Amino acid sequence: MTVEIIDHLMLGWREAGTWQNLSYCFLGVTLGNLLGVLPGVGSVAAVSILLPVTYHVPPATGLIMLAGLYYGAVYGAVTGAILLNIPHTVSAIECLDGYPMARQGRAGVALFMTTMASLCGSTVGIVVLALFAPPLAAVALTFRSPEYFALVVLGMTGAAVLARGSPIKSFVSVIIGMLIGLAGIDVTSGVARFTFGFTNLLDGIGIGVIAMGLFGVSEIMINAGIVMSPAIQPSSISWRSLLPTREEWSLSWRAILRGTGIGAGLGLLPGAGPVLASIMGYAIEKQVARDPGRFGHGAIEGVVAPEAAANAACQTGFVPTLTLGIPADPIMAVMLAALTVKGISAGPDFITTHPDLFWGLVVSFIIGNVLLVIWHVPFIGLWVRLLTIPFQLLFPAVLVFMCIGVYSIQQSPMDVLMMLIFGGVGYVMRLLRFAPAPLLIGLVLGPAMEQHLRRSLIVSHGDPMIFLQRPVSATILAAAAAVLLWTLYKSFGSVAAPKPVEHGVSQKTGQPNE
Amino acid sequence: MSPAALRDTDVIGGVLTVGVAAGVLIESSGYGYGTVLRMGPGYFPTVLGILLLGLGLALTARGLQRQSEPIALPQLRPVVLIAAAIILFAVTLTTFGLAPAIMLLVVVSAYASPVPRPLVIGLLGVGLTVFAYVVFVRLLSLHLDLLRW
Repeated sequence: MTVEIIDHLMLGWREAGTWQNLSYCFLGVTLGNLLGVLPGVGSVAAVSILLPVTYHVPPATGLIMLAGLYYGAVYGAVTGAILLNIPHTVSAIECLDGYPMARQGRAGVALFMTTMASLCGSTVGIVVLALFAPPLAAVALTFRSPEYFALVVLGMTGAAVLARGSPIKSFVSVIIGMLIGLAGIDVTSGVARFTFGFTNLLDGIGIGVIAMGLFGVSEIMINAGIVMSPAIQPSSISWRSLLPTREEWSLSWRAILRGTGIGAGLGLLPGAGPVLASIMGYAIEKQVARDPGRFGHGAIEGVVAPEAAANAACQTGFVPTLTLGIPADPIMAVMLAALTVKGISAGPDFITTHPDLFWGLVVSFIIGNVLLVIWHVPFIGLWVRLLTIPFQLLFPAVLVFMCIGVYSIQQSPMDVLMMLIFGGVGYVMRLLRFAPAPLLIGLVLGPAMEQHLRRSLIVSHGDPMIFLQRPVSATILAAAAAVLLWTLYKSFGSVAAPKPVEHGVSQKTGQPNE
Repeated sequence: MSPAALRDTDVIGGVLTVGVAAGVLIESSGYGYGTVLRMGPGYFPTVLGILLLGLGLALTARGLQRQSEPIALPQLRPVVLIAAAIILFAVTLTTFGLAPAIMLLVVVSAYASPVPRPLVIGLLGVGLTVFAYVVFVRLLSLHLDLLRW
């Protein structure tokens, strides 16, 4: 077993350790960190902007870069949350205690401890990924259409229920995403669906176009009219200010471990991404704390636990994404699409047919996390200084990259207009408090759901009981039903459930991405 | 119906959802439902349309019963300027080339900010044009002219 792991890691190093892949890993984590730190650019939009680049490089290189962008953004986002109170996708919950810490002059400590928390969460996450993905893939090899149908149902239920805001609205988002996913020629019958006579819709709408519109354009439309100014002087983050006191350290390490455990576990579930992990990490810290009253006023556990959880979930989220083909969050959905373009489909045989790709990715995670710690401890001042770039200069630049990026996918100006349309859709959704993230999950899973439903019913001669007669699919469907019932119970049973407090920028920018 | 209900995010969202569901049901009725054994192209969209209809009605009912949150008034200036900037980019890119398209995109969108600074915006446009040309046209060999007429 141990020898096997070493062999695998050696294989991964041969893939990830090439100069090209190392430099794309560096590029990915650095850009991810940059875009995570900067306000107004969601990480989904960031991943989508770089999606076209993956068409020009080998699959491993592209995947390493996109993945680096993904966990790099998780590392970076917390900087903005602590210093500017910016609720980014994954770091929204860290604003609650991180920003008060910054206002008490403890920003340096918060930044240093979150980096340690990220490192711990990621490391454990990577170990879980390396240990659990191969056996899970082996189990998943026995799965047939009914099991996949059940998994897709679970993934979508999870995505809808766990998103922030009203579950009914999130279900609407999921279903609209599924319907958009069906647009184009139906593979089974050859009928063109939802194309309304436009020939350029026959191949469906690219996920990059939709993601950049929904997350990038709408985010900019909302934020462009706001003047944001940093509340912190870059010079106040000195080397010395990074070091925690003995008391802060002793409060933190247990919180980091708890957060890591929660995140690593949740990440394994299809449909539960880092956002949920960070919220759960926060909730549990508040539960176990001796004095919950400190939370919201700069409790360090409330910053480090969600951060550890988010990073752990970020890494273990690759388990369901790669072995089952069920993305844990919208960014994973974009990554799966990038693989599909290369003719590689994620699923139970992914690890056995592309061991170099899988283990290369695992090793690149290790390299990327080391890079991120280097970026965040000695160079923290650099990122803090970045926050002083005025947003009014930032968003036109982001728009330029999105527009050219979208155009370059198919060399089509129509795609740029399509992105604008989805920007409008995203803007309206935000105004009406619909979470856009479930839409992207529905988009990827919708066509899969139809396929598996069709095949299952052909096998069973039209008998829907097939889903309940097969033990695995029945169990998964029962889990989905349990999640659903729990949500119903929560939304109708206890109205007094504590809602995450939104304050500062979040009120002006509307809902955070998820 | 009270005026507050008309501005409620649940009510507006619910009504819009019902509208989308109706559109989906009408559109997919032309595809052919098939049977459960041999699902036609219209089967699955119809099921989704019915679910969407139910959710939309539930949302509307909930909003009418207990108001959730009034809709925030959209800020017209940034929305219109950013939309215009993207449309201008899409129209000019292949007809006039990369440089005019990027300059228009940057200048028009930058005025979405409440405090635009013309000189800085101009410099930003030039810098981004050079950067985009080097990265996308030279390095990623995207077929685009810098300027054409």
